[in-house]
Amino acid sequence: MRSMENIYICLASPIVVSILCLRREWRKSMIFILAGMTGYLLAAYVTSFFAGLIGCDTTTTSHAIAPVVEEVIKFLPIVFYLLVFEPRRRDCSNALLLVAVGFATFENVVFMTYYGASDLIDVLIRGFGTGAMHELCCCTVALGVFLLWDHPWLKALGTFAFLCCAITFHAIFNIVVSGSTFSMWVGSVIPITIFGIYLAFFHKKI
Amino acid sequence: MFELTENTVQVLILSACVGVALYRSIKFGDKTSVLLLFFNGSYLMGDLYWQVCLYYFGESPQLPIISDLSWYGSFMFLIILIRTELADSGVKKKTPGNITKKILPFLSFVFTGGLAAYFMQYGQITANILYAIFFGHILYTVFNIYWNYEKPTKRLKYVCVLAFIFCMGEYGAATASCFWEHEGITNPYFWFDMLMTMSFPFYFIIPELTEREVES
Repeated sequence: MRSMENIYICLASPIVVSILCLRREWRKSMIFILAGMTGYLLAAYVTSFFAGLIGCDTTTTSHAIAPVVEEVIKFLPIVFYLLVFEPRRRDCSNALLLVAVGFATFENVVFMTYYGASDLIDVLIRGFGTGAMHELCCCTVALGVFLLWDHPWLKALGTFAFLCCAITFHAIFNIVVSGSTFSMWVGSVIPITIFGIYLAFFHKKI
Repeated sequence: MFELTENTVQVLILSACVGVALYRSIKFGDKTSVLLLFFNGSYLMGDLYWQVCLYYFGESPQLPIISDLSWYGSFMFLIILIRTELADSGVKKKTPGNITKKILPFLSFVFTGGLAAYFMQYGQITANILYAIFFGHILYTVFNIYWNYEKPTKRLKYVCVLAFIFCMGEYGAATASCFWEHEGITNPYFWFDMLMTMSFPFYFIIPELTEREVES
């Protein structure tokens, strides 16, 4: 855990400096990326806490507790942004994606630190897979926000429903990529493919 | 083996439904198709998570929270679908309404709550309470539309009947699993589960109904 904090400080420092220097819109983008990274660190603490509380092994933690905690924590900065700043839809969508980018980047760096980065192909597949999965989960939640945010009675129910979808997808991804190399490849290609379909057909509609 | 076959049939039917819903969402981009996509997709992912755990770990998930969350998501999408259909149909509430008819839909919560209390003796207290809330809400909405709204449209009635069949399938399967444990075609669990599974494709007639109404 200590090395993860060190990595966080190392990655966050340049972003903090850039936040101090940049102007309005650019600064906002950097804040969301930093929020994503901070979210990952926080998620690691909360996941460890619940794993200890329930008494789960590492495998169960990775596919049953981590997805729930990570998706909820990833959504928290956006809830704050939505409720406090009342942004336009496009801004909210971009914010969700940037939080996912920060989250996935930090997760990939931690993964490479623990498991090594000698095999370029594996790292490439894993990097794109994780990135696509996190961004797809955020896009799912964004779809909910855009589809249902207009009706007050749908706010809580709809957002929670889309969050449940994202959590399950994340959990299935975690199980599949934890298997053999072939399994990791398959697991990584699925979110990339779905994200490609999303970009091709749904992104412009939003 | 029998359970695996039954689950495979359910996964295949749901996958086909997701495919059709995805096609309709891309082609028409209407809210009903997107909600159907997530209603079917969420239920499918709950099933898939279970199957993936069986395949990778050789046992059902130690913490079934993920599957449960996925199925809760599916029930929430069904509630949203019914509510959206109700809002879009423009059907208004009866005024002044009959007090007995206003109270009767609340009995749905008594039904689901009572069954939840019965199921709790087999464990999973929180999950049973949540299932009772979601199914109670679905049944309450269905009965409320039938008794307290003026002339529901054909499309709205159709959605309500399907939601009712879905609920009966789920509750029938859950109740049957408490009394019959053997695997096979003689177990009522199988028939109720199939009833619920077979209700999924019929949701795709909803958009067709609109097209027919527009044509006529």
